[in-house]
Amino acid sequence: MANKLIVAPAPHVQSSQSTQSIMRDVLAALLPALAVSTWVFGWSVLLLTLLSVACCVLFEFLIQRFLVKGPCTVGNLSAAVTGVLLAFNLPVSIPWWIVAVGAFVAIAVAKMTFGGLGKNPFNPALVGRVFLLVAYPVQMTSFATDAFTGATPLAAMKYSPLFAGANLPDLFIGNVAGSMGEVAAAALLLGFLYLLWRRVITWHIPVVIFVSMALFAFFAALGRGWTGAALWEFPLFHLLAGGAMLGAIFMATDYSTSPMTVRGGVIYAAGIGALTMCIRLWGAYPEGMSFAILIMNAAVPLINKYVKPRRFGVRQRRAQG
Amino acid sequence: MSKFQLILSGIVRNNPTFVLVLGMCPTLGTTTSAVNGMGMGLATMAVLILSNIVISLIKNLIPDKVRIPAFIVVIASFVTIIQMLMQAFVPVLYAALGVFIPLIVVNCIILGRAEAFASKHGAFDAALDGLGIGLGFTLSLTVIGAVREVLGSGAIFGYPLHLTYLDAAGNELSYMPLTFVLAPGAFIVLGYLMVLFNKLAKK
Amino acid sequence: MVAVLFTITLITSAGVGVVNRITEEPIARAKAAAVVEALNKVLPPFETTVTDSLTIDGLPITVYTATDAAGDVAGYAVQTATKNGFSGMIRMMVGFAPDGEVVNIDVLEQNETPGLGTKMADEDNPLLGSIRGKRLETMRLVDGRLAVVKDGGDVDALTAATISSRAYCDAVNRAWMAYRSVATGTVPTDVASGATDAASGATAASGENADHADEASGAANRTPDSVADRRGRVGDRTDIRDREAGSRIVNRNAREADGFAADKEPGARKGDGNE
Repeated sequence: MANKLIVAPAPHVQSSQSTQSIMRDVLAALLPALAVSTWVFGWSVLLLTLLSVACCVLFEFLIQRFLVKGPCTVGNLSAAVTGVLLAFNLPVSIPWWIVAVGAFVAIAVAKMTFGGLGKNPFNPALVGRVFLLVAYPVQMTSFATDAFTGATPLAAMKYSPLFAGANLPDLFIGNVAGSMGEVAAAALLLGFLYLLWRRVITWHIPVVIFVSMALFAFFAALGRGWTGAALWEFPLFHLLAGGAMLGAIFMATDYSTSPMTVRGGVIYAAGIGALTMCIRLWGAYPEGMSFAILIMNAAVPLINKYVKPRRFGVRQRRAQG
Repeated sequence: MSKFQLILSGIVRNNPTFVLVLGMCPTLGTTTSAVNGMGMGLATMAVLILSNIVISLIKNLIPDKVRIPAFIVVIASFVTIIQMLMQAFVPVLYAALGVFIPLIVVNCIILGRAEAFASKHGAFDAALDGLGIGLGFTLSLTVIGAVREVLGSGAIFGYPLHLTYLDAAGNELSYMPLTFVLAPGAFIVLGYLMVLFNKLAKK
Repeated sequence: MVAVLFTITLITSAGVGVVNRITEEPIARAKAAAVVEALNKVLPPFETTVTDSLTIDGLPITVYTATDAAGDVAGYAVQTATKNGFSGMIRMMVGFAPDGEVVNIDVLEQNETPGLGTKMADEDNPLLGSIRGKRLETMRLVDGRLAVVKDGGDVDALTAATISSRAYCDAVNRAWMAYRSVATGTVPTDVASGATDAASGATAASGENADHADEASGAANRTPDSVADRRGRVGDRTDIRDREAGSRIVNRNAREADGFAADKEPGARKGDGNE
């Protein structure tokens, strides 16, 4: 036998991306936001983020080793990414044990119960965050620190009728009260650009979320009878304030919880944008991004069912409606 | 099967909550505490036993076509009776269970057992079946309620466990996640307990 | 087929009817006991009560004037409500001492956010702490009404529950208005809008005197062991009413259809032993 004929199934074209390398890129993209957040809120940010990562990794390891008794996938860094994203959704004054509870829910309930990476229908970090919001409402809505007293910009907009809109440059840089990772809009955008450059995500989902949110806010402003500068300041405020940037760039684009096709992704993103603005303007909570993403996560199987990718070589049937 | 096995099957092999997955509405809605869960289970058990007995006694008198309406009339009457008795003698539990008491009428367990068992067996057997299923339901609800109460309110059967701390502003805050006494917690606890029960019951 | 269904239904309805007859009295007693329990939480010790039903802002408000063993007014308990809660209706019982001091507040029904708004029902919550033991006139008022600190008043709001706190103040304001109208004869004005409903005062007045006749003869809302004091007290109530007959808007026939009011409000017509 001279040359063996190698027969293998698809895929035949390999890329250098592995789960681990993708996750490493995501972590790198999150570093600028981490840095700005530490500068704004102090060293607790670093400590809490590290704690969150450690808890997530530990829980995944323990469950895989003792409950599932399967291979340990901690090395693919997905738990670490969940840890960072979870921490970014929490206020800096959160007690450490709440972080641990959130990490447990995110990994054990949202991820491992469904079968691990790729099989979870809901974004684990967001499930953890929403669980904590319901479980510990006082601690999760206390954003007052030494630097910032009073409410976050979104809470002020919702509960104080005379709020005239926050300082947009402050929102862009991150000089406002809020969760650890959401305040630094500029840093998050940097991360977005990095992820685009490294081909980890495509631009569609985040951009469509921004566009749909901005349009919604624009029409809401029109509906309220505002004119002039307020018409573009209001949408810009909503894009920069709260978890919109963080959610749109890092959470909505999670592979296993977003649609398979680009077209499906656009529908998904438009839904997220619309739902976020609905909740922010008329709902019970000042921030709606986490709920919007989770709701659209639930809709993803439906989107995947009806938005099928085009198969090469198959002619489009005209009767398709 | 023996009479004892009849009762036991209602608790383990045919557990309405974890195996048959019937009566989910009161299961999720009333298990915010162990006492509420137990009260709901007992009320359902009372209706179940009584309606099983009566239906099995009159089963030969009812033409097949009007079987379901006849069962519903009997069940609804017993629910109304139980409701009035509860309102008169245990008003606190009555207020806690609220709208779920009249909802016992549409609890799938009751109509389901009437159809599947009471209409085909004698009165005594039907009563025992009602007792078994009712006990299974009560036990399940009590366990779910207890878990949710401990994890969510930090109390057990109404006795607070004082798992609280004081924050900087002097507010007394609980260590326990509130989620468990709310709707999400109900689903989560039910799901995990169902897994646990089925795993244990297989042995 | 029809005969069978008819027979079954007949027998079961008969059974239900029998049980209904048996449990009627205990149920009524339980309801009355619930009202008494709520009253006991917010008032100093008392013997008997007189009920007044008012409608303020379209909501049914009940004032229980409590008298002690000596026949003096022990306090006023007002069952008040607000629709402005975060998740809808909040009902509570506010107890005023004869001099206007707030004795206690008991939240009867609320659906607020757990952990945040639900704290208003807790023993020592900031809202109650700001109000209990004070005469409301001495607090910082905005437009003559109580308000949270954020809105210019001095009631401490609950952490992260501004809307619930505002609703709480709204309900207390309504209770205060009702208390003032019964205790001092002030015309009850709508708390939310501040408008006075003087037009219906004249028509209500003629109905009132007839109501008092019923009250004096039937004395349906007195407890059995207050027979001796009954006539004297009825006389007192009638005096106040007569004095203010022209300007008060005591909507005595306000029997709201809402279940929540009907259960807890024995009122002057039903004879279920309001204590």
